[in-house]
Amino acid sequence: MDWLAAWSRYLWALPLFLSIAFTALVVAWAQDNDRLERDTLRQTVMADTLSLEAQLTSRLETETATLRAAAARLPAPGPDINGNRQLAALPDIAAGMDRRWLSVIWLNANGQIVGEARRDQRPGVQRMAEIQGITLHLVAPTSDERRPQTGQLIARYDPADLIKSKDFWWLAAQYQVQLVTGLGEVIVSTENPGRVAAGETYDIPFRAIADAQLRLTQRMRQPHWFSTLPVVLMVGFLFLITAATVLLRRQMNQVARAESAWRTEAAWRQSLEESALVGLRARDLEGRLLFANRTFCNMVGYTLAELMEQPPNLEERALQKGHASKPRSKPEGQETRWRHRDGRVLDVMVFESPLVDGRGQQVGWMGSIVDVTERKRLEELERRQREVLANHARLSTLGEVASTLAHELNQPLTSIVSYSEGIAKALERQTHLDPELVAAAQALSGHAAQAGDIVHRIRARLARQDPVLESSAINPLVAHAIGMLQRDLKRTGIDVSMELDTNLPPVHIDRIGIEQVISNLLRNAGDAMALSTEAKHIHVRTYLSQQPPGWVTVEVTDGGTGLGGRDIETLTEPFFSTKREGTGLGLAICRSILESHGGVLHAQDAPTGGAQFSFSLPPETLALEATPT
Amino acid sequence: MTDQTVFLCDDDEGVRSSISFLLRQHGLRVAACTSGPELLAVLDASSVAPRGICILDVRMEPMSGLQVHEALISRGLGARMPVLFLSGHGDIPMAVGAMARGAFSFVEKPYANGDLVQLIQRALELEVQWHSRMARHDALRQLMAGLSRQQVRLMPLVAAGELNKTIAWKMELSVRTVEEHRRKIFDRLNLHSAAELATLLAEARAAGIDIPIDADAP
Repeated sequence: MDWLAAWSRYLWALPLFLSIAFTALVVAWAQDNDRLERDTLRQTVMADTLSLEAQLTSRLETETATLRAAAARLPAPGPDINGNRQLAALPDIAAGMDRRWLSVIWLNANGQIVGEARRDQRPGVQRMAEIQGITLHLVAPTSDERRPQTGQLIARYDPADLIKSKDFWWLAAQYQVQLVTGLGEVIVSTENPGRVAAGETYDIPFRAIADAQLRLTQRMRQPHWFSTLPVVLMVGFLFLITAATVLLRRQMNQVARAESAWRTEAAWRQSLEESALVGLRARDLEGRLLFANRTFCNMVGYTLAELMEQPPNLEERALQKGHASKPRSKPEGQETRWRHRDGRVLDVMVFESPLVDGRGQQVGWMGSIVDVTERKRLEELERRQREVLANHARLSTLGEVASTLAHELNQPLTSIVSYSEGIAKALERQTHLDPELVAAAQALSGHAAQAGDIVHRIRARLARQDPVLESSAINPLVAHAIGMLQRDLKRTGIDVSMELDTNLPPVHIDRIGIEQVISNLLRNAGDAMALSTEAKHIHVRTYLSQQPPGWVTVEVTDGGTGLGGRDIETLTEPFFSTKREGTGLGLAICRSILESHGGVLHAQDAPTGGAQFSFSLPPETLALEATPT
Repeated sequence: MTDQTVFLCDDDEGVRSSISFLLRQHGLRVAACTSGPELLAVLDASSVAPRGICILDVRMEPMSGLQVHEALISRGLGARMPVLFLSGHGDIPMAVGAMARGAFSFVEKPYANGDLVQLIQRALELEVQWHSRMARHDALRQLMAGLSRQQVRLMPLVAAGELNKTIAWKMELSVRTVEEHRRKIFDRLNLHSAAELATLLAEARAAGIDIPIDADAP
């Protein structure tokens, strides 16, 4: 079928091809016709020539016969015979003179002129002009059987007169009649010497005159076959057809181009509609669906046909009543909830814009619908995770505060208890025992113990719950913590790079706690560079520590001003902070979380100038061994 | 009990002096130190083996209470001096760890009325037991050190209740020599029967006193 398709591309040229073929046929026909005509013409010329020759010959024979008859009547020449008179007396000679004889000469047997009759001597005949060209002669012997060798009668005539005879007018109209010698020299012609006919010509020997040929040349030249009207018309027709075809072709090309452009645009539009991640729907002013793309159909779970025939109510009725019939154009879109066919609720953003037809009239509404369910779900998830972390951080802070307070208060309380007990013991040794003093000492001890109890209870309530320890890889936690903070860090122009050792053993940890430690270190690193004007960069590295060997280490290096000579003890002291808004608990919390995991926190100045905080955790195998059961 | 000292180590001045005061009121001798190194220095300076107990605060600088405990164990004092920990941070794992390493007990600050003194007294009693046991072990070690190589090799067989003849055959000795050794061992160790010797050997073994008991050894 390929060849068919290939050929159909050239279908436009078919009329041209047919026209050329037709023209060729016509030309062939014309050529053939011309050949036949020429043959016919030639035969006609031949026939005419033969007929003319016959007539001329017969006419000359008649003349000769007349001359012979006149000769027979002449008497034998003698000295007494007036030859001129004798000749003039003969009626045949007079008649001949009237016809075409120019002169008649009578010769005796010795060749002497006996008598002469001339045409211009005839009455009524004006004097003959000098004959141009050649004149011919008719000869008749005057001797007969009875009188041998007596003389000759010679009639002179003009051959032009012969061929120009009015009797052959019909020929003269058609042909140029010539007598030519065997060498082609023209003896006499019907035409003036200057004019030459150019048509078909035919020579035959002229019997009446020795060594002469009669030539008929067609006066009207047969036109060439290619100059005949049909051929000219056909060529004109061909020319027009060609022009028409060229124009047609051009037009077709234009149409094809336009069609191709239209097709491309249609395909483009189609694919745009179908592949768009945005649901599209068009509705008329009454809210009836005109069009919906595939994304829209997938989004709501109905096919286009279903949507057209029985428009389901997509809106969550409780939320958006009457919205379907009253679309409004809002560039910022409208958030609403739809119900999928299977009943689940979709969060969608609807952007409505007026649908305008070619005349600029609004005929409906075009809606772009974006499904934001997943985005919302992720946002919700992220929010919850942040909440969990924040909550954990809050609890950790409170726990740390309680723990620190407990530690700080316990020391003086211990002293009070000890002193009061000591005093009570000392009083026992006194001889004069004042009971009130003993009671006071005991009460003092009791109150101190009570205060200790309160502190203990508060701390017990606020102190971190026992961490939920589970086996976990450290790298995902690092990545997650960075992911959670990335946005905040980006906002302050800080970029974070990671260098994670993928061959780390798992650790036995409370994931939330350790993630909080990583977050804290990252936040500290970010805060340390907050005022820096240079490129802000945090580098996070995980690796297997050498000291203690085999421990999993996470290292956070910032580009801030460094530790300023402070050691880890100072840094982790509760309520120590270099930041105005800091609680001074961040690193303390980190340290206590790490210590509850059996880990350690280190701080040192980075070789690049900033601070480098790192913590190491025992690998799971070690941690499980060490954990008492 | 009078030669016992309570070695108190706490970096908090208030706690240190108040507990010292309390213990003095109970008639105890107190040596208060501000840090672990100081305590260790005091103990190291003593010419005789120190008697008494140690009370260690868990959170101290530069050595934590647990580290001080380790140092004591490494000095061989772990089995001589009961160690009592004081902590403001009731870390259960830390306490368990310390107990596992042989600490006597753990007191959470602030302790309730009388708790500390009771514990200290019990610790002191324990120290007395430990001390007498240690003293006996020392004596045993001294006695054993006076025995000849052959006597040491012979001892388990005697303790096992073997007859002199059997021992002589096994050791490839004369019966008379065995009899002589048996008499010397009993004299030296101040014993009267093989059963007593067996008890002594078991005790010595439990105390980790080095007695070659391999009968096949040359």
